[in-house]
Amino acid sequence: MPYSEPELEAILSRARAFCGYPRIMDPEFVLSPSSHLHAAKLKDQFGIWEPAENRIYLNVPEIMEKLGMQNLEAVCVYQLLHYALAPFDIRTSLRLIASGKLALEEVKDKGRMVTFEEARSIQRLFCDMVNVTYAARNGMKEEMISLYHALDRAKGLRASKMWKFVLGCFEEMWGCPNALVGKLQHEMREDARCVSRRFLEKPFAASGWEQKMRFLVGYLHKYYDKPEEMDKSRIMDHGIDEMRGRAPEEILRSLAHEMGMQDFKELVGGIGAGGESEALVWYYRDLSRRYEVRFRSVLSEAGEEAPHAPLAWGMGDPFEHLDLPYTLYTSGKAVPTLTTKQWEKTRLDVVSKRKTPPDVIIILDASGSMTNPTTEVANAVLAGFVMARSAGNLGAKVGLVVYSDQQRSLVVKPSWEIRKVEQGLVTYYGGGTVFPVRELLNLSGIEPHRAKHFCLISDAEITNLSEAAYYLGEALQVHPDNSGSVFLVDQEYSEKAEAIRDAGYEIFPVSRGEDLIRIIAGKAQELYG
Amino acid sequence: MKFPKPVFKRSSESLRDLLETNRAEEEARATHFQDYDLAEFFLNLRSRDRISKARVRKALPTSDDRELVELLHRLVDEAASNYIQLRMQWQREAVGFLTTLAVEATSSLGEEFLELPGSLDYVGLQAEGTPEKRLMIKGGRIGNFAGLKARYLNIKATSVGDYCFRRAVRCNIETQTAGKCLGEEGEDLRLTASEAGDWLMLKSKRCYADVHKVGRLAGLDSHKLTMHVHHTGAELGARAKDAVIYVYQDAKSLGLRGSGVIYIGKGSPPWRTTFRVEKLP
Repeated sequence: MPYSEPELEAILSRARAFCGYPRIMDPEFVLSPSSHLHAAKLKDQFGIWEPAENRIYLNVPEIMEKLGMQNLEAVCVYQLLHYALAPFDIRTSLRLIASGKLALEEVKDKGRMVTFEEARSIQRLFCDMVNVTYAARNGMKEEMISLYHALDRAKGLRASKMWKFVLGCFEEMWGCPNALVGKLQHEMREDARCVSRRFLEKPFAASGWEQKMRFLVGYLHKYYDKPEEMDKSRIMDHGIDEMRGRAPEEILRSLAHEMGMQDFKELVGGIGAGGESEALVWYYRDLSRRYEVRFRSVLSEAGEEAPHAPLAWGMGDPFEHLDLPYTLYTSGKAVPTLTTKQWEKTRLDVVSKRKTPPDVIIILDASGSMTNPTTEVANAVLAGFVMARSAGNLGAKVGLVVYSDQQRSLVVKPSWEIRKVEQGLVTYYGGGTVFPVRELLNLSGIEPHRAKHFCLISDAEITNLSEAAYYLGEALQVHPDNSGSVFLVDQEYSEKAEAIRDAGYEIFPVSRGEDLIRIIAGKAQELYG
Repeated sequence: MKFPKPVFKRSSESLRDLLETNRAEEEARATHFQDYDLAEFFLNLRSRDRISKARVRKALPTSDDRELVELLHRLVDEAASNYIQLRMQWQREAVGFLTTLAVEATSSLGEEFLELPGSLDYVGLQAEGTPEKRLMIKGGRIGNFAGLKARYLNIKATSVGDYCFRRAVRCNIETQTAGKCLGEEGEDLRLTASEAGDWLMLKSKRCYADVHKVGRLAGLDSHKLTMHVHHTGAELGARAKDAVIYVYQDAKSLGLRGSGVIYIGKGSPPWRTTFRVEKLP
């Protein structure tokens, strides 16, 4: 072994310092891969990322044999920079993958089917480019040139157009002409120059990566036939974009704020995280988070004083403070100041009584006059999410009726399982509008001892309005604390809604769809805040 | 994001390296601006979702208004020169947003109007002027869907296409010929034209139109429409509320269930209508 363990440690600590101590378990140098726990995975690899441990294992003999020990430090830096710079986390990588997929469709590479796997390969290559360029431009240019020279020899990819193009790009980006690949076809050299010019405009600012990635796709697609060719030009995997062992919803969290619904749905399907209805639920849930009412610890009130901790009682203390039974119990005899005890008292916090939150029954219009929640963001559905999640957060039950005409309605009985309600909320029928009288009567009769709030979201184009108003009024009579509110989408004023107001409901006409969310969030705050 | 710290001897701590890096980045930015074309714009914009003005703005590589105007002119000219190739709706909408950004940037630079090449659709899409600083677009032939959801926008053109100024607010249009459905669901619009198509000012509110000749169903379902017209098609002002319509020459027929007043020239037949009909002197 040409390197001693302290030397290996020194290499690793230098690499970690260079990369700003990324948040990952320390990489481990594997000196005898055949007897290692991950021997099978390490075989013929420079290194692996183990998801269960979130640790990198570097196969030192393989690196020594194929790349040379002088490149070990560069390999360490290459690997660690993925955690420090690009892609940094799975959300960035997903953003880049989605962008790459769309760009591939735009350039329509030879009429082939475009897959997410292909976009992921491009994303990985792009992140490699960012990372090694960072290293090269911050004092490791020779090391990176040496690493890619060694890789060139080890992989034997000289015939591959992809590999030549990547090396050509590096030459241009690092400002070292002919240092890696030398002579290139004129068109390829020009393409490499174009990519490099665009890349070098704030190359390490993550906000510009999506556009740079799309630009790269425009050139890259000319130089490969199969996506695997891009994977071959990499040194090893980093595992940041691996879905295995991670909850899809957590991974996709907050992406709804950055991309449209259709792009989000496609991303969910493309990475195999779920189907369309799951994607919709995640999307609306994500959007509703910023409006929903969350559980807050109740305020305490200061009450009477209560014993808190024993203290020594001295002759100077008031006699009535002496706790003689406790003194005798603890010491057997009362010796002033030595065994005598009194109590330190403290004011007790008394938890103020919280009002029992009412269960909520959401009655959502899914008729043809309402926006289809599967094609664009439907404010009515988002409002339903806000109300349902607010109630759920406060421990209230949530029931749901999604209705259109007499034949089509969906009922979720009041339950603490908000997920069922969320799945129901994204249902769309697109038919006529007949108020579901029977379903409402059934739901209002369930657990009549629990107070309920009936929340109707509709555009009030209801065929059986007088019947609906009568039964909505009846539903309020079941419990003295029952209440109701009606949110009228795209209405400044509706004469029809007056009938429902007479039944005891609060009416909220909403002329601009986007206001609906704020208004319903205000109502949720009033009920559960 | 916390950036890695250089720990090697040849580090970028040195001023020369920093200057060199900055120079390279500035050069790359300038080249990016020069090389940027419509293909790259579409590449950046491609999405499954509807595009928005904010997304279009984000796709453009410039922050300076003057550069932005220059770039937008270049892109709009490129689009106009090969407009037939832009077959997809999202591409035409994107070009429409480019014209919107161009007119807004032009106005913020203090220039009075923006002159556009002919036949573009979605011109001035969601353009937002202010009462103090209205936006102005001039052009020869303007395509369909101009001024959709625009506010405080003036358009002066030889002709405008169909479905223009839908859901627009407080906009003015001066043209010779306007297509069908102009000003649908618009508010406080003002139209001066020689000829307009069917369904003029459909479902609009408080609009004003001075047109020599209009098609059928002008002012259908409108509120408080004021219209001056010489020749009208059938069903003028059907279901309009509180309309004030002056017909100086002839009307094919008056619409049913309208309310308001129609001033009409002498010699017109005695219409059976819910409008109050007054004879013009």
